[in-house]
Amino acid sequence: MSFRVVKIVLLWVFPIAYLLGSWMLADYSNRPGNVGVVPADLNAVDEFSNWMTEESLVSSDEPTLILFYHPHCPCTKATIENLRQAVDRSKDRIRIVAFGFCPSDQPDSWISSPLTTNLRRLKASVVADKSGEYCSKFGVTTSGHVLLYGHQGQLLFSGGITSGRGHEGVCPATRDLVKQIKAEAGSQIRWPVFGCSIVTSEVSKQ
Amino acid sequence: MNFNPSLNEDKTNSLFKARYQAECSRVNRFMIWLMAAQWFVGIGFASFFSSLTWIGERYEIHVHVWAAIVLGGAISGFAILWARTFPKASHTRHVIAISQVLWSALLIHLSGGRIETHFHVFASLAILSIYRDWKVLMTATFVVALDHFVRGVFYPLSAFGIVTESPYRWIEHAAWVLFEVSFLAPGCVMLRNEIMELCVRQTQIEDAKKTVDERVKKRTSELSSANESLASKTMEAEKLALVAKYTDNAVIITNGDAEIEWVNAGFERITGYSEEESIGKRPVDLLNGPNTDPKQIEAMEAAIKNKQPYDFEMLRYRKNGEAFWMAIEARPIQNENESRTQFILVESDITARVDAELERQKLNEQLVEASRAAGIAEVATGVLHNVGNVLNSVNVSASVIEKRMRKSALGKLQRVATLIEENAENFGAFVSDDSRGQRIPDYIVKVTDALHDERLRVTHEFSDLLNNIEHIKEIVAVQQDMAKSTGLQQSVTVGDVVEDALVANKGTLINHDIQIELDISSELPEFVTDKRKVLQILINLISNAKDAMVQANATDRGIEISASQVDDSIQIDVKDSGPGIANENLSRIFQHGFTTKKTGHGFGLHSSANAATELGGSLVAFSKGIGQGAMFRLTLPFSNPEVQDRRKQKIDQIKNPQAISVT
Repeated sequence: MSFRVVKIVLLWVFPIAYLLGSWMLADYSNRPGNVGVVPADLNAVDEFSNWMTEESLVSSDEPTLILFYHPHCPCTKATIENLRQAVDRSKDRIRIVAFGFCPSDQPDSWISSPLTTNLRRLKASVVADKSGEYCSKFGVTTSGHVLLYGHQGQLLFSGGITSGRGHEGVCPATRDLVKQIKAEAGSQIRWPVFGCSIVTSEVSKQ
Repeated sequence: MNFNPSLNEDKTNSLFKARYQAECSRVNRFMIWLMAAQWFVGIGFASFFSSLTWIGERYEIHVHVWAAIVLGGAISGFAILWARTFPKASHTRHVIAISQVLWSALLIHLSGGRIETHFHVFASLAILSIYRDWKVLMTATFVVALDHFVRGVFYPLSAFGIVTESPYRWIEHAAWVLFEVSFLAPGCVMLRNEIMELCVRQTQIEDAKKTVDERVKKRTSELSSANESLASKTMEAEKLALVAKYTDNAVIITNGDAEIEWVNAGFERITGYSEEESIGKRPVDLLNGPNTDPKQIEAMEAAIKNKQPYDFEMLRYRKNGEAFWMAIEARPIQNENESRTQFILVESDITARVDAELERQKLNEQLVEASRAAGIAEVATGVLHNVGNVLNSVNVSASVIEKRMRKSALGKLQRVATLIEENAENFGAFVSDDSRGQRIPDYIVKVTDALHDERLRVTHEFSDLLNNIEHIKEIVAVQQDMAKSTGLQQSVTVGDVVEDALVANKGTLINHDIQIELDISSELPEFVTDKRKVLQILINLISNAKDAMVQANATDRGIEISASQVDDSIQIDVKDSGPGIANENLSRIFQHGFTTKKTGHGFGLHSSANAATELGGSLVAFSKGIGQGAMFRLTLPFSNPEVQDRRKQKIDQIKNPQAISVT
């Protein structure tokens, strides 16, 4: 008798749990991360020149793609995968600079992760972003945020390049990115970013 | 073949249902395991790909891990519980299909939309197609599309106002799924049909086996009964062969043209012809001789021609020329397979029988004659008895007359005459004076009266005497008539014959005060018969009736004689009011030597019955029993030329044995 009751209860509980869970999951996957004020001109961000010992962030030859990521964020794996596809399609006509978040109390090696490795394979210049300093400077708070600047330093693209949090595969954002890499012209394109927070909300609000 | 389509369809359907149910139960069990396995795999999946989620320096367990545990648990748990609760229901398949594609969606989600994980969808569809139910695949397709749409387009759009992936991607995905389903679904239908086909075959095989079993059984029993029948027929045939071989009769088998095909040993014994001599010959040619009746041969040939059965008794000749009587019994046999007819003839030598018959006929004739003589004697005895009775009356009359004469008044008259003579001279004085003379006239008157009276009496007696004598004459005349008319056919009327018969019995009838009542129509036609025999019968019947009534001392004695015409016959009934005849005696009454009379010999009725038969008629006795009276009915035919001829023929046959033909 009691088993029967349990069964009936479970037959109701399971679908409800599923619906509730999947709603929460959908929310988690599709809820965009916060985006701050992104500099429209890369040249304006002087610090970069200083920071980069050998070369400037702005190249006269090719557009510069800057990726901000959390080295341990599982969601960003999809971003890097999509980025690889975008890079493939744009025939390496870009420079990639990746800022990997590194807590201030951790050595630079903290950013070593599969993500970093993958990025290096994309010939990206990986920079450890201590305490998310650069993130703050670029108004970025979410891992997987991609910025594309033209060879004149103008902002072409800002946002995530996945359709959802940790969701790999070609999506409109990726296509827009490729388009901007190729065209290197036109108005700025912005997409929401899906990923783990690089800085806490308190930091971002600052 | 007792093949019932509707019954078989039912059988096939139930067989299919059972099979399909078993198949589904098997797949359900597999799916339960799969559901459980997927849950563990899903948790591992999430843990591997995204175990932790980061917020800056902090991290916590990734939502995907919780999703794998909770959502995966909900999906698998629900499916398992449902399958356990409704193991045989068709909706269980659909619930499992939904759960499976939800698992696909979850895994794809947990793997971050990896292309490789999408294979799970197609693998799931393939797995679901084991159900061989295309509707399950449609459900799965629908859920895939719906899930994709809700989570990829509907939710982001409604919650955040943006669509981050192509709004038609879900359609593309659904189309791919549909692409696979469009191959799997016909496969399902085909597999299902194959099972159905198998069930049909199995049903047919079972049916066929059953039918074959039944037929084998039936055939076996038919064979065994055929065997038994064959054995009994063989036995019968053997017995018949024994009969044919060892019978004293000749057995012949001929073809339709009466040519001998086979004869038995009896044939050789009787005819003297061996089998070799007979085969191919016709018995008609082989056995007939100069005295064989040509009419019989003609009739036989006609019967053979018409394939009719025939029976003859005819004179034939042995090989040595000896004539003998042969009884032939021939039967046509229609051969079942061939249209030809055969004859089977059974022939026997009946010479001894024919001789014996002739002898018997002769004896019978003699016996009939003897009986008739005895009957005549009995009738004659009756007649003499009647004559004797009348003679008694004659004697009485004579003695009365003699007495009268002796005591005649004539003597007294003589005395008066003497007295007158003595007184002749003075007769006047004597008459007037003498007292004696005075009485004479009165005396004479008295004597004269007496004489007159006497004469009257004597005259009366004489008249009686004459009557009696006349009666004797009549009796004698009838007897003479009877004696004279032996075998003579003459035309008579019933009235005359009955009258003659009554006259012959008249004396005794009067003596015993027997009333005769006649009911004979004068319109009855004359008929030709042997009057003597009819008289003999009637006299005997009347005499018997009288004797019976006298013997029983009946008070109301009467004989009723009536005659009428019935069809072609005259029917004469003699009915008495005597003691009747006991039932058991009715059949014996005509037997030779049987009598109920104290002084009878048992010839009368026997010879009467014989006489009636000889006349072509019959004599039958009726009685309701003792005390009910008896009636004898004599039936005689009108003279009929055919009857006469037949009788004549019969007599001829008896006299001339060579011409006998008994057919």
